[in-house]
Formats: sequence, structure tokens, C-alpha cells
Amino acid sequence: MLAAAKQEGYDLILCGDGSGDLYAQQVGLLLGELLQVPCINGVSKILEVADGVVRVERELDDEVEELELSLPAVLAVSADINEPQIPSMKAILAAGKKPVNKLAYADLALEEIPQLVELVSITAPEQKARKQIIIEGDDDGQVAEFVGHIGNVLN
Amino acid sequence: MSKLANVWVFSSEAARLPEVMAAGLQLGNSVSVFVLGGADEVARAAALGANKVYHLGEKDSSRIVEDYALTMAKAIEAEAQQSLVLLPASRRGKALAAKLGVRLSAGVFNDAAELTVDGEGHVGAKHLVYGGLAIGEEKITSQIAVVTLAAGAFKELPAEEAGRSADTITLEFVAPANGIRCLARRPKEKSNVDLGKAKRVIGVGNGIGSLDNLKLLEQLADNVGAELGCSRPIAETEKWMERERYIGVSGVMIKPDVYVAVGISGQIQHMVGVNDSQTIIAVNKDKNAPIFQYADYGIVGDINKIVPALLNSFKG
Repeated sequence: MLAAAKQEGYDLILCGDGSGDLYAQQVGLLLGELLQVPCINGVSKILEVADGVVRVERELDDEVEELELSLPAVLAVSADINEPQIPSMKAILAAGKKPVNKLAYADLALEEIPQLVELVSITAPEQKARKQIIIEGDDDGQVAEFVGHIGNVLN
Repeated sequence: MSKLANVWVFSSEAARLPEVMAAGLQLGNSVSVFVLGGADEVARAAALGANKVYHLGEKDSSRIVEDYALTMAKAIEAEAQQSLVLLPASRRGKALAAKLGVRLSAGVFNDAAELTVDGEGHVGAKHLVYGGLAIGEEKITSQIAVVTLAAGAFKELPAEEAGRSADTITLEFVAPANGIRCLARRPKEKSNVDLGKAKRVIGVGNGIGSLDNLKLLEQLADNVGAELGCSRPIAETEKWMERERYIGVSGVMIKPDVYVAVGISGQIQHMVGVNDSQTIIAVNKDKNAPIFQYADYGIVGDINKIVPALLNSFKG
């Protein structure tokens, strides 16, 4: 992405918060840092793009920041930035006609990528053994039996 | 477990400093703490066990925390030894981690739930991947490792001993080349809930059906001394509860003595957040709901009937 952005040019690069699989939450930020342009994460609203700047809101645990970044810039937006629209059939068909610029490794002036982190393992988490006392039905007797069981833990 | 000669610690959120310090003290023979704030904050870092305090100066409202990345990187570089930089896994922490990572040619790891140091001084870290379905373990092989720490990963917090002192070094601010201007900031309405610390939690899902049932469950929670939590749709789609109460892999992870799931189907993304509960109790109308596979006690039936009955049985 770094090589492609440098080669193709850009004003604004929008990234998500993190991928659904490994959720490292680093790609957008690292890309911005490597491009040496302003970059920030947690963008919950894009207020305006004008006069060579982008104004955004960034939602943090304790406060909301309103930031201005000069363009070009890289933003990592949070999942709640909008309600994604479901594309119409017309839009889906139109999408097929839009040009796609495919970049191969050979097309890009790739620098050597340093290996800083090694994957050791991916394992399933251990499940706790549960008592599995399940009562099927909600008549008075069954509810009373359930209350009898949970009374010990909740009282 | 081996230890590193020195670990760097920074937390822009005062409340998270003790746990990041706990990790630093466990993994390093000495701990250097970056402090952004006044004399009280410097003293607090020392009281928590810092060997050295690197003072970034008083808070400056025109800067964002990430603007200090270069200042920190310069101090870390000057020590030029194998080390670890620890930050809390907040959005600020993650942004800082990336900026430090690039500047220091360091491997970055976010949301670490477990940390170790091997015989060669390499940091090993674990976090959840695939939406909580699996645990990923990585080894950071760079000279410097930058790690953001998941909340609750280190539970034995260091005691604050007033009167302890640390060498204090005042750092000169190195302005970032790509300054981001902070135009305004407004505090978010502070949520006063901390589900992560609650002993008992009642989790509410779409299956409760109505706001009336939510009121009854609020009452029940009150009667049994529990906090209310919820599944993602309740917080994000229905907006019946604040986001701070949403339990799951991208929300709060809880470890209560008792977790009661009412009208929650038990999707993995939610269950990951409650798996460490001592006892899990489930109420759901669908006997095939996955929640029952994870439950110690469960009842299959009509929420509208069971919730009032529970309220009647647990009067507080």
C-alpha cells in the first residue's frame, strides 16, 4: 500500500479500524507514518474536506477531539462512523463497469519489508467445564426448581 | 521468566497507569515512566514504583497525546538497549504505538492479554483473534517491542507508596513534522459503570423483547447487587443501553462471580466476553440457543413469565 500510494498519488486514504480476522489495528496508522503524512485512528465523523485540510471528530474513551489534518492524510475510521447502505441491483451492475486498476508486485517499487514480529501459534481457547443443568419449561414448578438452583449463587 | 533490563511505561489515562506499571514491574528490572502532567502525576509514578520518570511537561490543550511520540522516541533511542514500551490498549495508546513503532523500527502488538520475556529478551504476547474464536501468540523479534495492554491483563496492582522517589528527567518537546491541529475537545458524558469490576452481572439481549422487561431486570439487578450489561444489538441498534455496558469481544470483557444472560442467544462474539465468569446462568425461549452450551444453570421458557417470577423470588 505504501508503494502503491507513493506511485499512484493520493489526497486521502481511508482505512477501517482493524481487520475482522487478526484485528491488529495497525495497517492504517503504520501506512500513514511510513508515508510521513498526518494520520490518526478512531475517526467517528468526517466533518469537512476543504482547502487542503480534513476536519474530523475522533471519539476516545473520555472525550471527543475535533482535529484538523492537512492533506494528504490517512484516517482510520471507527465501526460506528455510518450505517452502511446495501447497494441496489443497479449499483451492483454499474460497479462491474467501473475500471479496476490491478497492481502486481512487479509494478511497484517495493522496499524490503523488515520482519519485526513472528507468529508463534493460533490456538483455540480453553472452555471452562459447565454444570449444564438446564430446565426445559416455564411452569411454576419448573421456575421454582430453577430458582432453587440459582438461589445458592445469587443470594 | 526472564526480565528485561528496562521497560518504558506511559498511560495518558491516569486510571490505567497502575496496571501498565504492574506489567512493567513484572517484566523489567527497572521501569521508566513517561509522565504528562504536573508534580502530582510525577509523584504518583514514583509512588507506583517507577525507577525513572521522564517528564513530558504539563498538559497542553493545543496538543494531542500522540504529538509526544517523537519526544518519547528520542528518549527511548538514547538508551539504545533491548527494551519494551508498554501502553494501555486505548485508541490513544494504539495510535502512539504505531507512531513509536515506525520511529523505533519496533514490532507492535495490540490488546495483549498475556506477556512474557524469553531467554533472549524477546517479548512474547497473546491476544484474541478471529473475533474471539482463537488466541494468537506472537514473538516480537525487534530490538525494541511496543505493546498495548488489554484492560485487566495484570490484576495484581502495585501499591502506591507515597514518599518513594524516582530520578526525574525533564524532556524537551520535539514537535512532530506532521502536526495534527486540535481545534476543540469536549468531555464525553462519563459513564459511571465499570462492568469489568462487577461481581455480578445481568446481561440483556434482544430476546427480552420490551423496555418493560428491561425495567424489571434493572430492578432485579438492584435486588441481587448486580450491574446490567447487554449484547451488541441492545447498545448499538436498539440503543437501550450505553455502549459502556456492551459485553463482547469488541466491547467490555467481564469476569464476574455470576453472569446471568437473559434473552441472549450466545453468539461467540458475546461469549468471549463472559467466558471467564465463575457461574453462568441463562434464560432463553429457544432451547437450541448456543448460550445453553455455556451455562451452568439454564431455563428454557417465556421471558415475560420468568423475569417477573425471578423478581418475585429475589426481593433483595
